[in-house]
Amino acid sequence: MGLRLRPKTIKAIGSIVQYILIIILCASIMVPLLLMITTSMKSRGELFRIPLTILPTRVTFTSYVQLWMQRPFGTFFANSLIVAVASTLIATLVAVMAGFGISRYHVPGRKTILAGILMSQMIPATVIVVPFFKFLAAVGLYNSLIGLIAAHTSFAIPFATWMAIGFFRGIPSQIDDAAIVDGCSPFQRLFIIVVPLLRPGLVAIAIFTFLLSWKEYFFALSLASNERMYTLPVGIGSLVGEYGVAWNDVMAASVLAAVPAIVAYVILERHLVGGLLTGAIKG
Amino acid sequence: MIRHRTGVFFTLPAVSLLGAILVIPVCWSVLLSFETDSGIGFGQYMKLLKNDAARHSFLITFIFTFFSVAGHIILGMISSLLLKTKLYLSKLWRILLLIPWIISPVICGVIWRWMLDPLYGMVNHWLTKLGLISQPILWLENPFLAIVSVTLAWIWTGFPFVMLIILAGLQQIPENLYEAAKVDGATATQRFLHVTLPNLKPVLVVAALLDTIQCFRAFSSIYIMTQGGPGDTTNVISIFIFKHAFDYFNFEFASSGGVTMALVLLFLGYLYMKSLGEEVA
Repeated sequence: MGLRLRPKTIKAIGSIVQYILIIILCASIMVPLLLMITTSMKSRGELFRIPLTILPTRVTFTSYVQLWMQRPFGTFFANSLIVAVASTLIATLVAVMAGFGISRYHVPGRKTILAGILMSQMIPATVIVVPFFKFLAAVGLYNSLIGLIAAHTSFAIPFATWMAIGFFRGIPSQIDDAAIVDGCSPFQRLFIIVVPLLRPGLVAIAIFTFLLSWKEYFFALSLASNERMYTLPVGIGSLVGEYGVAWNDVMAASVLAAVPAIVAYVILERHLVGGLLTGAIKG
Repeated sequence: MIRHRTGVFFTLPAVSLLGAILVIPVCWSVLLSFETDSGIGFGQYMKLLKNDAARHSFLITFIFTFFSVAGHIILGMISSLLLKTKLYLSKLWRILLLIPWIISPVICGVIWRWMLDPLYGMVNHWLTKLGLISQPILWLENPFLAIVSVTLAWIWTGFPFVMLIILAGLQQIPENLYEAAKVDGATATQRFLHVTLPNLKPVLVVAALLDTIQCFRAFSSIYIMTQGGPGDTTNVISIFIFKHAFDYFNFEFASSGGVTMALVLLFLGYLYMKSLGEEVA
């Protein structure tokens, strides 16, 4: 004789299991993040005191202050900002133009270009970092933001263009075709008619590209040896790696680096077009 | 004819910039990779094949990638299913669950390295408190555990990406399929197995491919956590190439590694393109 559960009981158990899973999932994300925050508010002595404390017994913001004094943290922040904004602007502009050209006009070698754009997203930083290094060193642009902006643009443009093409496909060309009849120049057609239609997509492209640049580490590490040229990830990385790591400083730096990224994403969420990732699945 | 020129004009900036900062460096790298001590040849690639450290690096990258992608898919599935059913809270949760991907992998590496600290890290602290261990575990100093640790950390860091893709796929499955199944008396499990999974298969393939490409390139969090160590244990291919380029200044060898890596990724990218059903030019 088997035990037969009523459907209602099964549903109830199922619901409880779902809630438990959600709690476990969110906890596994939140706990490390909370640890980052609480560690940033501890004093150096308390970090290494046994027995370990989870919450700081005395909340102190000395780490946050020390960051700006002992290391050029403000410079790290500014560098990250400059590089991210510059590469985003370049990539977005170039991508929108290319998306417009490919989707609205006849371009020779269209299929090749499309395949090329897709394939260039697969090219790893490791294969172009050495030529970048050599070239920048040769022209004296090693340890420069320009070099890093160029490096970041190398992955920003393919990604942004691919996204832009996807968005353009979502806007029927009949809408802006009408503009030609009215005598618009292509530029007017693009910037006055299409771009406003594209706005949510533009925001998505801009913020995604910004995030990619903001968190990038490999190029930033390879193309800068001077501390004044570090971006935030490199700065944070430089705080670790030696013996006797000041984890409270590290965590404070991490919090300060994480906040702009999270804020940028929250802004993106509002503008999120439903099919953002449909492009990845349906092409 | 004007249309012809206009298209070219608008596409030109992207194509020419990419040509300058992507195509030319790749070609340069390829040329570098053929330079050996004894002139032009496949020497560097031979070295890559024979070098124990290089082979280990590829091996560890494959292992790391395999388990990371598996972890991402599983975690991504679970979280996207949960997000889909509990829609009223999903906006807040979606942001929370995305944070590991939004913040720099450097930050993730730093957090995990701190959590796994043998003496002062939270993990050992709680394991000891729960009575599960008596000696601190050397998460990042023991070779096997180091691989486990960096993989776990990367699963944590990267699953949101896969979760988003799966979520988008889930939202495309027509509701009436589920309705029909309910009418036929299917339980939730049966609906999952016979409606969700089959419809999700192409999405899972795409997600797995894209994620494999990402995991294969992983660098930051591993480098922060172990710097490729202990010794060479967690020297994934990106770290291997980085070290040969910038610690040993062996640019030719590093380039050969980079080109090999690019070939693997381009092959994966080709598979991705085919899975989209686009024609390859």
